[in-house]
Amino acid sequence: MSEVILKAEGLVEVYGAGTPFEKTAVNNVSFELYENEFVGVIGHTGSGKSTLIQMLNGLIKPTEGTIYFRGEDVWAKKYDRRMLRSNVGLVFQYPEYQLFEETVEKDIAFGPRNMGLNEEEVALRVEQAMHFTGLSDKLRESSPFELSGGQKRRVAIAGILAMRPRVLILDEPTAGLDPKGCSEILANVREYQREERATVVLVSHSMEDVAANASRVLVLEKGNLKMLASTQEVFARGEELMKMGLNIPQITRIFLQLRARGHENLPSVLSPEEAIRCLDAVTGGGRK
Amino acid sequence: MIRDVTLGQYFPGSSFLHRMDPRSKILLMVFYVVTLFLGDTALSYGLLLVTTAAVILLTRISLKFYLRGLKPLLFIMVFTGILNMLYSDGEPLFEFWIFSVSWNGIFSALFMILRIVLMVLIMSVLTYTTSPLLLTGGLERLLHPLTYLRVPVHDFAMMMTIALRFIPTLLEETEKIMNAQKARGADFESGSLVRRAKALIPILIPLFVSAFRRAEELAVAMECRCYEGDRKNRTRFVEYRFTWRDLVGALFCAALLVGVILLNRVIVWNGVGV
Repeated sequence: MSEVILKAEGLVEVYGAGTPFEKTAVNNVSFELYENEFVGVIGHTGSGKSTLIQMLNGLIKPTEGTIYFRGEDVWAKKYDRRMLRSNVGLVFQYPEYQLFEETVEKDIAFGPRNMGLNEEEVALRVEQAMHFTGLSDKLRESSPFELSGGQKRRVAIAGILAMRPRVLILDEPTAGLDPKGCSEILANVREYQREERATVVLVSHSMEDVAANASRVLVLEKGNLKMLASTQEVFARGEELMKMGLNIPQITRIFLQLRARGHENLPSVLSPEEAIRCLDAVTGGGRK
Repeated sequence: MIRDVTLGQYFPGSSFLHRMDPRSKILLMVFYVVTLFLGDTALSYGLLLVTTAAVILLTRISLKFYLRGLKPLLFIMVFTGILNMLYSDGEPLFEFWIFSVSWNGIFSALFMILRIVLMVLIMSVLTYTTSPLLLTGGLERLLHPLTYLRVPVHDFAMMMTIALRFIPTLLEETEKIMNAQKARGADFESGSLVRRAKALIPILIPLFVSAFRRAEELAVAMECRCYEGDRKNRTRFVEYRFTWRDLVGALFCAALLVGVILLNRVIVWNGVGV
């Protein structure tokens, strides 16, 4: 197993402490993220996902608990949290609303410039980030406000990738995009992960996306960490997930129901391709 | 946090004051403030203090929120208080440099501060117990006669409603954008003034863009529902009606005015040297 890059220990976040509106958004959550892994985070709306990921890059200070990046406490006195934010890149929901520069190039360069890199390095990183997000070179000089919704989203993601984060956190990166745009962006993210050997955390409501990309899945319910296991194991507990108001991939649900009707030799599957393989194995490949 | 800003805040409830007609509430608040400024003896201020406290209790909203509303005005209160204390005539109690302080000055300073406090409290009662929608609706109807002078009262009221409605939304948006830029390494807290002002650009531009986008969407949504501004045949979903509550409120305010005027004349104790 590769090394631990980010470690959360007993994270608690309470909003509005001492007022009638007090709310515990995250309750005693501990976990470890490893280098070069792809983790999916799922949970109902209001389960604390957004709060949790903002704690991971030091935007929210946990009420209790500690976060370690490469073994160092990020809320220690002299810790440079701006540097942390370039190491733990966070792509917010609907990130296209944060674009502000005159040109795509300048906007993507905002992050690297804030890191204090020299112009050569910045230019190199912008070029790479545009490549990773599938933005054509022609768009360099265009205004980000003239682009289509999908392209804006790519520019915003490129703005984070250009900082070359070791951990890339994406909050619903595909919300509101067409299916083609969704799969392209996820493919871009996977490519970044592979080439940079980075850790990716994907927050998503699409169980298909999580099942197809993540190797581990973290399940949150009402601020509590309910499960953290391999994608296979988590989705095999489909009934528990559904009780939490969460979905599971359609094909996984079909197989669960088949098993409930007596086909107990069927395994838990995550994708239609896997399902076909299993069925072939069961029927001896005798498909028509 | 930025969300703690309380502008035009409203606390839903069903108290006597919540259920009064917004028109009468607005009028009576104005009347109340005028009464406040008529008082000029310790006795009349005593009465006003008691009635204001009673009104506040009647709203059934925690006193904490009223005190929070007073906090930003602390500076103005202290400032006017000191000015009043120093620039009043009367037998000097003690003197230093070019200033002299008299009992008279101290009393007038106390009264001035009390006036401001009571005024802010009673205004808070209005905004705390009346939803922004009712408030602007009531105002619109009160100002309706101005339409004969071609003042676009309805449009102003609509603008005010929309502005109030979007304050929390824009605050939330600002916070989101700030966090998003911080995640890209933006630094709002250090550097020279010029640098800090420059650091606001990445917040302001997205904020304006989204405000314009919202405005456009809202305009389309309103047009889709056939909104055409003020038209003669436009009817209202909620018709305002005066009830016994409004009568009680009016009688209460009238009695208060009479009480204050009477107490102003009874000079039992109005400071030393008057």
